[in-house]
Amino acid sequence: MKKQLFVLLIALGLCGVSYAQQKAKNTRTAEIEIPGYCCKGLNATIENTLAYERGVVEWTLNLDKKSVTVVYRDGKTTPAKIEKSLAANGVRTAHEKPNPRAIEKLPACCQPAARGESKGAISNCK
Amino acid sequence: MRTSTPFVSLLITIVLLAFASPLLAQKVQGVVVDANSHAPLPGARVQWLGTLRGTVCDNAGRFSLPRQAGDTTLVVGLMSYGNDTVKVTTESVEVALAPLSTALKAVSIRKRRKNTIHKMTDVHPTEVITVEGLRGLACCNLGESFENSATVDVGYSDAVSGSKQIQLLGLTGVYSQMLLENVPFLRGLSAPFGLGYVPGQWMESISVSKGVATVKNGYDAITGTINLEYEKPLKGDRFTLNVYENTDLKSEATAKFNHRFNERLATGLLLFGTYNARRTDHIGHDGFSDYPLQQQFNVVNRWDYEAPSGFHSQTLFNYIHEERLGGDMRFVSSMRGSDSIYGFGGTTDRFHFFTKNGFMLSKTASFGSQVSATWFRQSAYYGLSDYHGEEKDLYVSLLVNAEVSGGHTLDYGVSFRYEDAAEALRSQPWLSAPVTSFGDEISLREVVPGLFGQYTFRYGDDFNATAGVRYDYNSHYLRHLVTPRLHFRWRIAHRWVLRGSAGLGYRTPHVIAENFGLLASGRELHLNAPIRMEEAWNTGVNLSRKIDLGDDRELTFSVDYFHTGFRNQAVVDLDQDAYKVFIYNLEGRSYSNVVQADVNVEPFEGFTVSLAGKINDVRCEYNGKLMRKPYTSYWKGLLVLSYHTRFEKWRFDLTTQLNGPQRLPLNKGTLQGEAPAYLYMLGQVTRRFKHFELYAGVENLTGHVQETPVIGADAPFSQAFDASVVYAPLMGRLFYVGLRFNLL
Repeated sequence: MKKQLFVLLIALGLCGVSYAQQKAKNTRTAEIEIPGYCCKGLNATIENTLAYERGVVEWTLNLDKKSVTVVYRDGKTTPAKIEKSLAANGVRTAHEKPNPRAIEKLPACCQPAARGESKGAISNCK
Repeated sequence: MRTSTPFVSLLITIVLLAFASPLLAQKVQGVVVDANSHAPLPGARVQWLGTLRGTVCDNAGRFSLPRQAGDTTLVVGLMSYGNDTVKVTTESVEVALAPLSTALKAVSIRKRRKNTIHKMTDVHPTEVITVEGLRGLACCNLGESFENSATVDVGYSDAVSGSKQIQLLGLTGVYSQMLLENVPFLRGLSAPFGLGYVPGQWMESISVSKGVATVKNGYDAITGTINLEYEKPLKGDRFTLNVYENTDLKSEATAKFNHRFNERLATGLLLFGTYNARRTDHIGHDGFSDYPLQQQFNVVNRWDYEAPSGFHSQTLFNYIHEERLGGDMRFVSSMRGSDSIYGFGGTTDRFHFFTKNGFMLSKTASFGSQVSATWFRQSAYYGLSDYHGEEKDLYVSLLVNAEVSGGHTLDYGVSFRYEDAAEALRSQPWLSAPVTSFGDEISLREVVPGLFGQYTFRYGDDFNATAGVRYDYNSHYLRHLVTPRLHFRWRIAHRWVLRGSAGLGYRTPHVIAENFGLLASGRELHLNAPIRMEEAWNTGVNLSRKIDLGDDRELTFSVDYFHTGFRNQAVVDLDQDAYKVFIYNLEGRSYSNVVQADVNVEPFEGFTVSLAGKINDVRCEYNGKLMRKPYTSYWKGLLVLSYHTRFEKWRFDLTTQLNGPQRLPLNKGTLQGEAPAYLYMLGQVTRRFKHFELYAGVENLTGHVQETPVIGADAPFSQAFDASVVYAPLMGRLFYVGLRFNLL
C-alpha cells in the first residue's frame, strides 16, 4: 500500500518536472485583447487560466491597455487556444465569447463587462 | 407592515435630511445597481459609515446625500444583498451590490482562498469551513469534516458500529442544532448517526456557530448551530466527480450534475456511494473487525427557481440507504441471532424532503416559508439485542422579515412540527424482564405548534443586537415552552468585535438512539421513570480581533467562553455499576464551561497557520456525586498548517490535534479512571491540473490507537463484554488517494 502511494507521488513529481521544462526556447509573444478587463478584480481569473495553460511560459497583465501579453512555446499552443481557455473561464476576449456559467464566478463588478454590457466604471470594484 | 414601511423610511429620510439641512453645501449623488443584472435597486439604504445619516434610493436606484466633514465612506445595503462599503472621493458614485448568495460564493473564489473564515459581521461567533478547507481533508462525510476545527470534537460511539458522534462545547452533538440550508435537519432518531449521511463532497460550506441560536428555528440549539450548504444548481458547475480509495479498500465516489434550463430554473443531482468490502483486525487483535463492512447509497435531487421579482424557491429530495455489518471477523449476516458468534448489523433508510419559498412583500419586507418532512427507519442488532427505530416528522414554518425603519428589523412567524418516533429494543439475553419499566417499546408522538418574534437593532456596522422570544406547546410533555434568546455584537474599536449571547433551550431526548453505543456492551439498561424534557441555559461571550498584515494578509484572533447549565437532563450514569447503566432525570447540577482561543495567521503568501486551544470543564451529578462527564477531553490543542504554491498547483495540508485526557466511567476493562492524552495527525498533498486534481493523504499518521477496543471480546454474550468504552482512535495509519474532476 505504501508502495502504491510512493509510485503516485513520484508520478506527480514527474508531472511537475515536465511542466518546468517547457520554459525553454522557441517562444513567441502575443498580446491578447481583453475588452472586459474592468479592474484588478479580473487578474486572478486571467492568471489562474494562464498558469494551467499548456505551452504558456510567462505573461504580463496590462490593465491600462485592457490586454495581457503572453509568451508561449511555439507548437505547443496558439493565441487562439489561449483565448478559448480564457473565455472558458469567463473572460471576454476580442474573438471569443465567454462561458456564461463562468462569468458568474467572476467578481460581481467584472460581470457586466464580461457579458459585453458597456456601463460606466463602477466605484466599488476592488 | 406592507404599506407602512416605505412611508416610515421616507419619513425618517425626511427627518434626517431636515436635520442635515444647514450643511447642504456639499452632497453626494449616485445610483445603486445590481452587480449581476446592472438593474437599479430601489429601496437600497445608503448611510455614512459610523453615523445615522442616511437615505433610501428612489425607484430608479438614485440617491442624494448631504456630506459633512469626515464623511468618507458610504455603507450601502439592501436586504437580500447585504452591506458593502464604498470610499467616496467624487461627487457622484455608482455602487454595484452583489446579491448575498453570490457575494458569499465570491469569498471563496475571488478572495484569497481560506480554509476557515471567522466572520466579523455575524452576530454569532461563526466559524465557516469553506469548500477550500474541505478540499484539504479527505472528508468522506460530515463526521470527518471537522478535523481542522477546534470547536467541534469527533469521537466514535462504540467499537463495532463504526459510527461517529460530535461534541460541541463539550456536550454531545444532539444539544446543537443541525440545519441543512437553514432548515432543521437530522433531528430525533437520525441525529446520532446523521453525520454519516452527509457526504463531504456535496457540501459547499459548513458554518459552526457556538451558543444558542436565534428563535427562528425552534427551541432546541442549546450549544450551537451547524448549518450545511449543499451545492446550488443555479451556481454550481455542470459536472463534478470525485473518487476515493484508501488502503483498507474502502471506495467512495461522488458525482454532481447541475443543469440549468434557463436563467431562472435549474436542477441538480447529487450522487454518492461508498463501499467497504474488507474487514481488518489490526487493532486489539481480538477477532473483532476494526470497521464494519459498509455500503451506502445516497442521492439528492434539487430544484431551484429564482425570478427577477425576488421570488425564490428551493426544493430538495434526499434518499439514503445504508447497510453495515460488523462484529466478529467470522460473522456473516445469515448468522443473525447466533449466540456463539457476535455480530453487528444495521440497515438504514431515510427519505428527506424540504421546500423553501420566499418573496419580497415590499422593498423592505420579505416572506419565507419552509416545509420539510422526513421518514427514517433503522433496524439494527448488536449480538442478541435487536433495535428498531422508525420516525416520521413534518415541519412547517412561515416567517416575515421586515425592516421597520433604518436599523430596526422585525422577524416574526409561526411554526408547526409533528414528530412520531417509535423505538423498540428487545431480547437482551441477560435480561428476562423488559428493558424499561414501561415495556420494551418507547413511542413518542409530539405535536408542537409555536410562534415567535424577534427584534434586531443595528447601528451601522458598530452595533447590532437581536432579542427574540418564542412560545411553543409540546403535546407529548403537555408543556407550554417559552424560549427567550438574546444576542449582541459590538465593534468596540476598529477591528475589535465583542459578542455575547444568552438563552434558554429545550430538547426531547431519545435515550436509546442517543446512547446507541451502549447496546454494544453487556450493561444492563435501567430506565425506570419517564425522562422529562431536557432544559438548559446557555450564555457566552466572544472577543475577536483582526490585524491587517498588509498585502491582503491578516491575523485573526478570537477567544470565547461558553457556559451551559442544565435545568433537566437525561443523565446517563455509568459509574454506579460497571455492569449497569442507569438513565434518569437530573438531580443536582450538570454544567459545561468551555474556553477556547483561536489564532489564524498568514505569515507569508500561500502559507496559513491556525492554532487553537480549548479547555472543557464538563461536569454532572451522578447519583449525588459531581463528576466530570466521561469521554470528554479536559483540553484540546490544534495546529493546522496549510501551504500552497502559486496558483495552487500544489497544496499541502497538515493537521495536528493534541487531545487531552478524558475521564473513563467505571468499566470492566483494565484501564480505569483516566485515559491518557494522545496525538492525532493527518496530512494531504493535492496537485491541481487544468481540469482535474489528484490528492493523496494519510490519516492517523502517528498510528496511535486504542489497545483494547473491545473489553471481554472472548465472551461477547456475557455481561463482561463492553465495546462502548472508546477513548482513542479505532483506525490505524491509513493512506488514501483520490481524484476530482470538474467541468465548469
